Amino acid sequence: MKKILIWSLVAILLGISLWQVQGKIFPWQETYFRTAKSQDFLLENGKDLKKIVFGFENFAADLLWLQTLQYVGGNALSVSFPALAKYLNVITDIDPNFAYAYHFGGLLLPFEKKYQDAVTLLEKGARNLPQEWQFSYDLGFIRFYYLDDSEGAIAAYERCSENLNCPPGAARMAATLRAKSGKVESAFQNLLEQLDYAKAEEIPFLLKKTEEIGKLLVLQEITQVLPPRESIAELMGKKVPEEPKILALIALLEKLLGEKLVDGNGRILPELTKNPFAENPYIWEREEKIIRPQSW
Amino acid sequence: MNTLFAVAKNTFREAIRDRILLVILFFAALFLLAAPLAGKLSPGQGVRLVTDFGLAMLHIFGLFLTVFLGSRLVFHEIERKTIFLLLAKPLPRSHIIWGKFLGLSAVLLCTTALCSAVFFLLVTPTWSLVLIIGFIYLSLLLLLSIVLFFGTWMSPLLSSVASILFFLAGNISFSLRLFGENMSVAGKYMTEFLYYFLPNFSSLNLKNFVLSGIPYTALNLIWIALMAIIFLIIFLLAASAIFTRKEFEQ
Repeated sequence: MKKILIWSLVAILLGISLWQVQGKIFPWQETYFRTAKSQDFLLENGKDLKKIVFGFENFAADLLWLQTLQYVGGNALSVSFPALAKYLNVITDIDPNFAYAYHFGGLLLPFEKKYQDAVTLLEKGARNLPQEWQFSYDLGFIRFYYLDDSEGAIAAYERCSENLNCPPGAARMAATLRAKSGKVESAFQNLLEQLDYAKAEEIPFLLKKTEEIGKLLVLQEITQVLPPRESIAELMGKKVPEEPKILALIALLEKLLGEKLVDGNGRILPELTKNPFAENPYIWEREEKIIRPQSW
Repeated sequence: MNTLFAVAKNTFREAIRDRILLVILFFAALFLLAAPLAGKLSPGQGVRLVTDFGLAMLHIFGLFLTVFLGSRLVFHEIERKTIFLLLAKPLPRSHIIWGKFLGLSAVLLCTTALCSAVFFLLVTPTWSLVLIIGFIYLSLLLLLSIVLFFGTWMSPLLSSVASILFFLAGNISFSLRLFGENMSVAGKYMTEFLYYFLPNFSSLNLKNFVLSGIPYTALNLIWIALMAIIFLIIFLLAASAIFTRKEFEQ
């Protein structure tokens, strides 16, 4: 009985001491936890780190990913993530298949105007995961919208459109950008290539676009030969120059569209002025010697 | 008291003859000496990485040693029937547990000192680092008392697993309490209870505080050390109580 009493007393004493001591430690730890700021991320890349994670690449990448989310969350109010590109670079070095990390970077880095970092990350994603069309799609957008790099955007949109799941918008964007940059012939060729592997529901749109760009191409080729005009409408009804390249283009377009563009006398059919150009009149840029729709 | 030290002395001798100690020490030295490689991963921050990596290795290999050696302490005596030689001697059973704890504490002190010596070949010694290593040693002692507690009534494998789980739980008890603040009343009380009655291993891990420049006072350190000592006493008392009532079959 006496022993039980002593032991109970000891247990109570130890319990109370613990309660007291742990209670003293908590506020200090809490202060540290609440005030701790994210430190600089020290690693430049994860290639060397990958060698020492002993086969736990995914796990290591996941841990870093959680740290990245905490880092972003901790800096959400200031919307400043100076170390984010480094974090994502290391994560995708350790686990190159971490698709979400690329998406995350593609979305957040442009917010911070770190366009080049976003491009580098998305290029890496497109290289490591070619089946993920979104990387090329986002890349095309960033290059076109933020970096004003039409060439890069065209390449990215075209790479995206090679994937069957890629939205048709990418192909349209690539063709439009090509035409806009004066490369009407490339745009036309690109559309012809797309027609080869397009889905059934995409074909009507691509045909319409091919027709539009094709006519533009023919007219542009013609205007390169003819003296400059104030309006493209003036070309209608004129005789097509006996240029082999122009004749070949017209033949190709006629075959594709299944309708005649040139009458028996070798003149461009006047109907062309009504449709589709009538809805969206084209103008002749005298300085640049190109034809473009007025809306551009 | 003499009997206590006799058991401790024997435990110490037995442990330093154990091959597992040499194997773990060899790898500890190897990994510590590899710490400069970690420094090369981050140009400009090499010293910091070497320090962090070295301290982590020192801690991790200390944990390995504690769990591997501690979990077999009592079990080996029973398995080899040498426990009967001890029980036949005029010494209280609790002295066996406390003696073994003291013996292995001495082994851990030697191995920690040895690893620290290797570590200080790579990093300039400072009082902060010595303090951190001191608290690593204290956390190893606390873990040893837990391993001994489980080792008195479990097989080595089970007691190792249970101790490691206890160690992990002790490391997150603080975060759990913070997490509990956003839970229901029951959840809040549950996480608070866990915080108070699980050893707060995260507070013993001073490397996270000191190296990050978090201010601390001597009083903070005293409370942390006191917490470790109280838990250590509780686990050793519990281990002694179980061991005293344990029946051994010939």
